[in-house]
This record gives sequence, structure tokens and C-alpha cells, in this order.
Amino acid sequence: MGLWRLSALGVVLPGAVLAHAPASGIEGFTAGLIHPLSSPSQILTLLAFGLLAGRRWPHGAAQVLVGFWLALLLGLGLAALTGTAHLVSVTLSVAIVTSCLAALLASPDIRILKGLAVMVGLVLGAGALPDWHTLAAMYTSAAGSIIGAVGLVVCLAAGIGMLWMCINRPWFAIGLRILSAWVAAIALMLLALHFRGVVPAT
Amino acid sequence: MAQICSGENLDKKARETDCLPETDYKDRETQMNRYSAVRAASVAVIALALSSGIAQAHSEAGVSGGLVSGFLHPIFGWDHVVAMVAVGLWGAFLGKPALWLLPVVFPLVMAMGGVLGILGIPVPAVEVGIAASSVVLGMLILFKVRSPIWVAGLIVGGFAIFHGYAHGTELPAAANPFAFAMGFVVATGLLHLCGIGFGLLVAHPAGRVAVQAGGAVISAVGAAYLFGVA
Repeated sequence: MGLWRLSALGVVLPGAVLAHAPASGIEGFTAGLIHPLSSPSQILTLLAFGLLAGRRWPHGAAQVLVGFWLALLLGLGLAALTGTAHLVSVTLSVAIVTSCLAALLASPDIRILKGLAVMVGLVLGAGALPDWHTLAAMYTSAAGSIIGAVGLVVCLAAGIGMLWMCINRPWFAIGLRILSAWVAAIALMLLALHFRGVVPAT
Repeated sequence: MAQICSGENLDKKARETDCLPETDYKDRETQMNRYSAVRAASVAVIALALSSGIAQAHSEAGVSGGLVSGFLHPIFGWDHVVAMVAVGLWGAFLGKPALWLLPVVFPLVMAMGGVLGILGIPVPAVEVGIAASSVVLGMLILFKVRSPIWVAGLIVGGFAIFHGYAHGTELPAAANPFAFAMGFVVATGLLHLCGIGFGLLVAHPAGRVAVQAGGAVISAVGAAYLFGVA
């Protein structure tokens, strides 16, 4: 009988778990850490930048990452000062530009990469301003956001870069460019949906 | 299974062998019936829970739901499928840089068509454009037409508008537009890759014939949609 009850419970439970929002109850540093993955526009921007930066990894990686990190801080600071919320249309536009360049450029110039790192960092930083009740909560959440965004970019770029070094075949580069075109296509349609008011401003 | 014991020295017989007195047997039978009823009820509960899950998934997917329905949207229309495969096939047939350029151009321009659909900007003769794309691309493969890369880009891009528009009109009503968009873009890209994979057979003489035959089939399917046969 115990087994049957357990089986019945096992079937019913997933529905109950699905009813909760995935990030419900997560606060502070952890909430900040997963913040860059909380909206499609930010995911697409990070993915597009990772696809582009990975193609030059590890050449100029330190400069690009420092630029990205400083831009994140600047974006966060500007958002805190001006009270600007996450700008979905701007973030999606940056995602479109970055992914189009990743799709069309055979070998991205380091100066283009640095410029994009600053642009992507600014929009992600501006979108990372957390809801806060105390200053301490704001700092911990913001620190989580910055570490999360930088960590994701490093993982993506380094992962793609290392894969490319290991595989070193033309089809892999072609695959990355096709993948970038998919990201651009999705971002472009999400921007249109946003202008139509279908996608919530998150 | 226990047997019923009867006759003389019933208790002794019951102890010695694996049988039960008739009264005990009836009690055990009642217990077993009760157990079976509870087991049947448990099965019914589980079946009900499972079937309700299926029903939820169905209602959510419907015409335009999330990732799965987005992914299936190009795959369930043969006019879409053959045109996507044709893009990859022609790209492979033309060789580099068309091999990678066409599968990059197509989703980008398709997204522009999708934007027109999302914003409700009318595009005339969408279904005719989709069917015509299969006919034209199939013919180009069949007759081994080697156009300049910019002409190939223009042809493929022009047809991509119609395909994107057809998907884009579904997007605003989707339960999860992001997942739906991701689904149909990925499905489109994978169909291109199928075409490229098939198209790489052109390196062999027999493969070249097979690819040309593929072009003829694609053209025929497109014609069937164009003239309302399919």
C-alpha cells in the first residue's frame, strides 16, 4: 500500500511544484547570481556576446572582461542614480547587433569586441538593479548579479573558445555563425513582440 | 494460494498442510477482495493523475503554445519542410560560402518576415509564396543552377519573408512567445542542416543524381501545394 501511495504522490507532486515560480523565495546574493538568466532579453544578449567572444578566446580576453566588468558596474551605478528600470528594447537591440556581428564576421576584430563588451556590460548592469529593502541587501544582490554576469560570460566564451581549439574544424565555425543567426532572429522577433506589448517588461 | 480443507481432523490437517479451514479461507478471501479494490482504486487515481497531466499539456500546446509547438510548427507543414531542406541542399550544391551564408541569411530575413506578422503588417499571397519557394528552389537544384552568391542570397531571403510571416502571425497568441520563437527558429535551422547533410552527397557522382532527384521531389511537393492538390 505504501508503494501505491508513494507512486500516486509522485505523480501528483510535480504539478504542485510547477505551480510555484522558479525564483520564488530566492533572495540576496543567490537572487543576484541568477538574475542575468531571469529574462529572455538578458539571456540572448549574454549568449550573443559569448558566441562572439568565444571565437577570439583567449586573445585579448583579459581586456574584454575588464571592460565588461567596469561597464557592468557603471550600468548598475547609473541605474541606481537615475532609477532606470531594465530597458528591454535596448537590451534586445544590443542582442541583435551583437548576434548579427557574430553571424556575419568571420573573425571579429578585438576593437569591435571591446566596444561590444562595454555596450553589453552597460545594458546588463542597468538591468541588474535589484529590488531592495536595506542597503546591505542591495549590495549583496548587486554583487551576486555582477559575479553571475561575469561568470556566465567567462563560462560561455571560454567554453566555446576551448571547444574551437579542440575541434578546430571549419564546420564548427560555420555552426557558431548559424547559431548566432538564430539568436539574432529570436531577439528580433522578441523586440517586435515587445513593441506590440506581448512580452512583459522583465 | 491456500486451499480449502474439509472433513475430519480439520485443525490438524490445516496445521500439517498449507490449507485453511473453510471459515478462515472466507475471511482471507474477503481481505483479498478488499485489497484488490484498494489496489484498483490506487491504479485509477494514478491513471487519473497521469491523464490530467496529458490533458494539460495538450491544451497548452494547441496551435501555438511553447517550445514544442514552436518546434513542430515548421515540421508539420510539408511546404515548409521541403523549402527549408531545399535551402540547405542548394547551399551545399553551391559550395562555400553559400554553404554557410544561406543558412545564416534565411533565419535573419525570416525574422524580418516574422516581425511583419507580429506587427500585423499585411503581406500578400503568403501561402503562394511558401509553395513557390519549394518549386523555385527545387528547380534550381534539379537544373544545377549556379547563381552568384548575392543572387542566391536574394532568392532565399525573398522567400524567407513568407515563411517568417506565417510563423510570426502565430507568435502573439502563443502561451510563451520566447519559447515558441526559439522552437521554430531551431527547427528551421535543423531542417537546413538536414538539407546540407544530404547536399554533401554531391561530392560523389551517384550522390549528385540523388540530390537532383531530391530537387525534383521538392519542386513536385511545392507544385502540389501551389495548385491545391496537397
